[in-house]
Amino acid sequence: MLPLLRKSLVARLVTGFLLLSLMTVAAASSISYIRARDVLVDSVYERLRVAVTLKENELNRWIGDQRQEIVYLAKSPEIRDNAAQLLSRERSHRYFREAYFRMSENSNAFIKRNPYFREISILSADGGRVVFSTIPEHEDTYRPHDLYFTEGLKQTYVQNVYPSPQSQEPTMTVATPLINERGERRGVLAVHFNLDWMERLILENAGLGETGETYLVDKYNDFVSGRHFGRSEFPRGVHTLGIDRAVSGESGYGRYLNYEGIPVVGYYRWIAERELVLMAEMHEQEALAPAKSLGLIISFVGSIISFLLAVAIFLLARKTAGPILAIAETSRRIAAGELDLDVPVLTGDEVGTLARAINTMVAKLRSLYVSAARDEEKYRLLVENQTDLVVKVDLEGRFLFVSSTYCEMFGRSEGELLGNAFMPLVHPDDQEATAREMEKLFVAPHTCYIEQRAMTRDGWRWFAWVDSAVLDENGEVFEIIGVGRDITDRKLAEIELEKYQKHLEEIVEERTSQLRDVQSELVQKERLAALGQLAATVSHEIRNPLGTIRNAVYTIDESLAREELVNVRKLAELAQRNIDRCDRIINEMLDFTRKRELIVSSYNFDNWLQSVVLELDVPEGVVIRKNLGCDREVTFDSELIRRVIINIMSNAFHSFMNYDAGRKIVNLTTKVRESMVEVSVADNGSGISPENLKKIFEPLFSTKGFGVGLGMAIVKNIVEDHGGEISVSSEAGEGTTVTFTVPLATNGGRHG
Amino acid sequence: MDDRRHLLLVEDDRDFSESLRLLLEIKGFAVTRAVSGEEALDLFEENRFCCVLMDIKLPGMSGVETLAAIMSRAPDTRALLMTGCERGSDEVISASRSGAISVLYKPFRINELLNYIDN
Repeated sequence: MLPLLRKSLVARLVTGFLLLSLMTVAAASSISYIRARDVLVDSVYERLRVAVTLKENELNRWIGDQRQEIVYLAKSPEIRDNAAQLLSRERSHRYFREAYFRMSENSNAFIKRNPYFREISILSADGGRVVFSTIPEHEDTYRPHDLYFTEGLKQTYVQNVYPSPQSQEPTMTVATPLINERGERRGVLAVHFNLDWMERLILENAGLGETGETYLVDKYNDFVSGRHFGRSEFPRGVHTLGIDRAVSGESGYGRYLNYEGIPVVGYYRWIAERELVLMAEMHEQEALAPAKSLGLIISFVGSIISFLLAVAIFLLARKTAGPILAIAETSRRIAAGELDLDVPVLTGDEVGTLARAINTMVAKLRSLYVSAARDEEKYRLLVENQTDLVVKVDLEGRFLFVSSTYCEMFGRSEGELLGNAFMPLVHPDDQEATAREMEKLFVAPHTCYIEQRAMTRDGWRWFAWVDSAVLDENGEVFEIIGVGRDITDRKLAEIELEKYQKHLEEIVEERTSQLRDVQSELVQKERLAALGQLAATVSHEIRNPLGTIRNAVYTIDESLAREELVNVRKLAELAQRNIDRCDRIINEMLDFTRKRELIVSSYNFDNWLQSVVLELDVPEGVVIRKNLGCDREVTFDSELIRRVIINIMSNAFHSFMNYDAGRKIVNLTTKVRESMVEVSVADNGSGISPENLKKIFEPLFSTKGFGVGLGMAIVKNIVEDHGGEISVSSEAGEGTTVTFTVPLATNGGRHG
Repeated sequence: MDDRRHLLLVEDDRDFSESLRLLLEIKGFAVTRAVSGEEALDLFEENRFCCVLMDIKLPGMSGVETLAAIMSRAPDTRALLMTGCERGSDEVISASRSGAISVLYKPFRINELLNYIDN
């Protein structure tokens, strides 16, 4: 039913209408029923009230009649005379017996004539003794406190329904005084009534239908009439809403449950003078039956009309919806793929417009479909025939498309892959890098390159992926297309290569380390060798002065022994000088090996230089030509530069030894060049051979027969310590020029 | 001059040469000095010496070369070489074939020198 409703327009229309009209009908019938019931209940009340009033009247009239009759009886001679005898004579008296006999006959005749009488008795005014009764067992009992006796002695009295002292059954008694001819109240005539009459009286239901019922209940809540007369059924009295209200003195209507628990519509009335409740009740079911049937009829007729209307609506809807249904049916077939169909244009109204619009759409769709099919074929060929892997995944990395090459490579069907995430296929060690790289897809240019391992049909293999993001119209990434290639062979080669490279590096490292060791060993050896050479040179140089000293001392000793003191002074000078030589040699060696801190002072450079030159021991025939151009203050270590000057000048002087240069000239020149003093010493001596010139600054190099060979090495050190430079140019036979520079202001460690 | 007490001293260190001359003269020797091998050869041509004292390391011709030249002319010459070098150094080894009686290592003991000369 529900699927039909969802699918069918007409069904929905008809069902909707039917539901609406049935609701209306239900409402109408309910309202009718309620309205009818209220009216009915009112009319039932009225009927019940009337019935109760009638019954009450009847009851009162009947009781009035009986009272009259009893008054009349008491005055009738049959009763009065006999009663006088019975009340005045002894039981054993003849008259008494005669009167009793006649009384019995008369009384029984009355009872026979009047079926309402149950018992006729005569009570003596003297103590209420029953002197006669139609029920002989009651005779000679005393009833001095019964109301019918005490009240009946005074006047005619009706004792309303009460439980009989003898039988405990409800009874009613009418009593009247018996007055003798002298006007004396000698006794009471009491007639006890059969209450069966009430049943007959009340049960005559006056047109109250099948379930209508009238009954009497006394003030003790006991039934006095009706089918439930007596106490046996309801030992504690009968209680219903109506009865209880009436017993408390009210009269009125109500709908309540009766003594049998059946819902009734009832009317109750308290008859105060009779101390009785008169009830009239009718079962609700019967009382309200017309209302019910009215409601049912309205429902029935309404429903029939609804159905007829529904049929009419159905026909109308069919007619109206026909074109729409036709469109729907054709559209369904078009959607199923029958693109060659056209929707029928049956009407010229909005539905017709709809149909035409659909036809236009279908036509466009048809041409799109044809070109799409062509494209699809093209792309299919492209994708199916290429060896690269092509996938498309969503943002959660789930496959939306996998190429057949991918399926084959991973040994899974398309169905197994689609909708599942690709990441589990990736090697655990590569997953993090893959995810990190794919972050780039979310920023321009929305591509990334990934190399990763994945578990294929043949186990782990390397792939290179070029991914690119597909953007929606808002520029948000919503899909990712990846093109991949198996690069396992290349990757393995790379890894192998890397391994070799690493191995090579290790070997190189090892060899380098070995070389370094060897080198440091060599350096060590070289240093030792150099040290050895230095020591050898030093010792060699020192041995001549030592030998001289020894010789001199020996000779002095010998001279003293022989007292030939001619040469002693000369010998002592020799010893003294050679001791100085030793000292100088040692200092020179120390100067070379120990780096000295500069102690700078300022001097007028040219003046200072002249004073140094004056100290020099200039050999005979040597001319020093001065060309000085630095008449200004220069800051330098004068002690060290002095040594430089002396050393260079000594070399120049030495160059004239054993060499005939003609005029022996040394040109000493100073000039200021930029921030330096340039000093040059040029001689026209023997000159230096090219091979010796190369070695001139090497320590321990010497061409002289004496000297350690440290001179120029120390000179170079000193000049460079000042921040200057030194150079030597020479040609054999032409002479030598030594040029060095010293800064105008040397930053010294200390100022002297 | 008594040739038997005439010595030729070849030494480029002037102080050493002078001190040794004074020592030898007080010991009764006559000493002729030279400062180079060339000078020594010239002197050797002109004079006769009982003994030659020669430094190995000389400017120009070395002591060993000079001695070789002297020996080639007068093979009986008694010669003593002097050196400031180490025992076993190349110069000393080359001296062993020069025909010298011995090598004196500076600063040598005077008695050692006198022993050789006296013999």
